[in-house]
Amino acid sequence: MLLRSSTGEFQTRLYAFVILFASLAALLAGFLPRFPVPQPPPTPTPTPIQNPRSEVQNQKIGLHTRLTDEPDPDNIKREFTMLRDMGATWATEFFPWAYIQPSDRNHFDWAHADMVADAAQAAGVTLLVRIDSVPGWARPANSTWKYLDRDHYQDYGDFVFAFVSHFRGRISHYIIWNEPNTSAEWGQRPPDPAGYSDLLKIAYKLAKEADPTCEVLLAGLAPNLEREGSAVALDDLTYLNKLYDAGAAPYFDAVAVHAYGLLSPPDDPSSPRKLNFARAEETYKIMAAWDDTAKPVYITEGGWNDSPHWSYAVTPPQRVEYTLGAYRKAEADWPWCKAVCLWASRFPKPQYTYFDNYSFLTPHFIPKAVYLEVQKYATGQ
Amino acid sequence: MRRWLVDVILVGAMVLVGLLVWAGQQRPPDRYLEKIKAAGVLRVGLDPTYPPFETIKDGKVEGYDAELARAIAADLSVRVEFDTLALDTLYDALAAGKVDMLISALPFVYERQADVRYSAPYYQAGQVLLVRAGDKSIGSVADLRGKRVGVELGSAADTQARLLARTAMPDMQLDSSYNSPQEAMATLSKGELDAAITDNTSAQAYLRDHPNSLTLPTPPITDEPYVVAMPVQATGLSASVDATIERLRASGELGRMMGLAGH
Repeated sequence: MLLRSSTGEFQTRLYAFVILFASLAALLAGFLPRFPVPQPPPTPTPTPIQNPRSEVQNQKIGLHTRLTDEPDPDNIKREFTMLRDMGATWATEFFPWAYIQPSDRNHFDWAHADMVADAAQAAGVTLLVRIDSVPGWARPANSTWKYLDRDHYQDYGDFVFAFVSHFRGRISHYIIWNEPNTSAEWGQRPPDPAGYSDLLKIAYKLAKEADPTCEVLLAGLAPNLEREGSAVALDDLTYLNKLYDAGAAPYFDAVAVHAYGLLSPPDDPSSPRKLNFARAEETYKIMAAWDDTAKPVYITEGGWNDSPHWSYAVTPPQRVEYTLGAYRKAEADWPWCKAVCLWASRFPKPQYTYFDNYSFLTPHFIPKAVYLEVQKYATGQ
Repeated sequence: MRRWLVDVILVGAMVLVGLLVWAGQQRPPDRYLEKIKAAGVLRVGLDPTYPPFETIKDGKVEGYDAELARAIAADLSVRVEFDTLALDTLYDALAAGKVDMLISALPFVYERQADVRYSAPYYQAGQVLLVRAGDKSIGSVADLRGKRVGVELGSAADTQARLLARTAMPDMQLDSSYNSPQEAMATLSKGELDAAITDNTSAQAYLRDHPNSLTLPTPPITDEPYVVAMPVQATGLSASVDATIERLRASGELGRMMGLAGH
C-alpha cells in the first residue's frame, strides 16, 4: 500500500519509517545493559626456554605445581616441561578425592589425573601426590570438604587403594592428607593426632596392598606455634610427637614437611620456637628421638614470597637469594632430605593477592627471575 | 481514510518509541548511593599495609588512597570512615556489605566484573622505562638494542626485561644485579647504565627526590591500573566516583594526590 502512493507521500513515509527504524535501534541500545567491556589481557607469544635438559647439579630441586585447576592438556605438559628445563626433578601435586570420585563409591573420573601423571612422567618429573578433600557423598551436609569422620575413613582408604592401583608404575609417592594439624584442613574441628593416626593406618595398609613398592608419606604439617587448645591449629612439632605417641610410626615410610622461610634466610638456625626454613631440622630431631631416621624427609611445600603487599614477604632479590640458598642447603647439609618442592610453580589464573608472588612462572608461562636463576644454578650455566 | 489511519499509527509509534528510548536511558535509583547519603558516611575498605598508598600513622589512615577516599566523600557531602582489613578479605567485605567501596591499590581484574563495578583507573602502577634527562637516544623500547639496562633482581621489571632480552632485544645488555629499584636508578643517574626499568611508584618517588635527573621517554611498558571497586549494582555511586576522579585529573590534583613527580 505504501509503495503504491504518490512519490511525495512515498518519500515522507519512507523517511518516517527510517526514523522509526533508527529509533527502534536506539531503543534497543538504550535497554542493553551497560557495563565496561575492557578486553582480557593478551596472551603473550610463547617464549621457549633455550636451555637443554642437561643433567642437573642438584637432584633435590622441585616445585609444587597447582594443576588441579588447569584444564588445558597442553598447559599441563608445558608446565612439567618447563619444570624439568629449570632443573626440577620433583613436583608435589594435589589430587582431590572429591574430583575423582565425585558422585558415589562406584564411579571414578581419572581423565584429569591421568593427564597430570602422564605429563609429569613424560617430562621426567617424579610426583609426590597429595590425596585429600572429601566428596559430598562421604561427609555430612554443611561440612567443609576437609571434613572426614571416622565412619568414612574406610571410604578414604578404599579411594587410596583405587588411586594407587590405577597409577601403579606411574606414581610411587603418596601423601596422606594435608596439614591435619590445622582446624581448616581438619574440617573445622580441633586437630586430632590420634584421629589422623587411625586414618593413616587404614590408608597405609590399603596403599601397600595396591602397590607394595610405593612410598607413603606422612602429611605435611603446617608450621605454627599454636598451643594445645587453640581453635586454629596445633604446633607441628607437638602434633608430630603426638602421632608417634599414638603409634603412627609403622604406617608411614617418609615424612612430608612444609618449610616456609617467611622473613628469615635459609641459614637462619632452627628452633622449636621459630618459624623458618630450617624448622625442617626440628622435625628431623623428633624423628631421631623416636629412632625413626631411616625414613627420608621430603619438603613438599615451602619457600619465600616477594609481594610488596604482604608483611611476611621478603624483597625480590632476597627471594632469589633465599630460594637458591634453600636448594643448596638441602643438597649440602640435609642428607636425610630427598626433595625440596617449593610453593609454587604457577597458578593457572592470577590470584591478584600476595599469593601471585609465590609463583616461579606467570599464568602465561613467562619465567620469573627466580625460575631463571634456579635454572642457571641447576644446570651449571 | 486508510492513509490517515496509517499516518496516525506511524506518529503514535514514533512517540511511543521516543518515550521508551528516554525511559531506557534513565538510571534506576541506586540504593547504595542513597544509603550512603542517608547515613552521611562513606565506608571505605582498605589494607593499610601498603605505603605510599595506605598506611596507618599516629592511628590515622594515610596515603594516596586515603586522600582519594576523602575527596570522593567530600563530593558526596559525607564523611569517610575507613575499615582496615586484610588484603585477601577485601572483596568479601564488599560482598557482605560491610563497606561501601574498596580503595586499596586494587588492580583491575577482568573476571571480577560479574560481582563488582570498577571505577575509571586512577593510577597506573605498571613498569616504566627511565633514561637520563636530556638523553634523546632512547625514545622507545626498540631503542634498547645494545644498551645497558638495569633492573632490581627478581622484580616484575626484571621479569619483563628478561622477556625482552630473550625475544625482541637479544643484544640488550641487561643487568639484573640491583638490590632495589632505587639502586638501579641511582646507577643510571651516574651514567653507568643507559636505562632502567622499574615500577611506576618507585620511579615517581625517585623523580620527586631527584628532579631533572631522569625522565620517562615512553608510556608505561605494562598496563597495571588501580581502580576503586564497588558493588556491581551501584551505578549512581560509580558515576559519582568517576566524576570525582575526572575532576581531580582535569585539575591536576590527582597527580599531586598520587605523588606523581612534577605535581
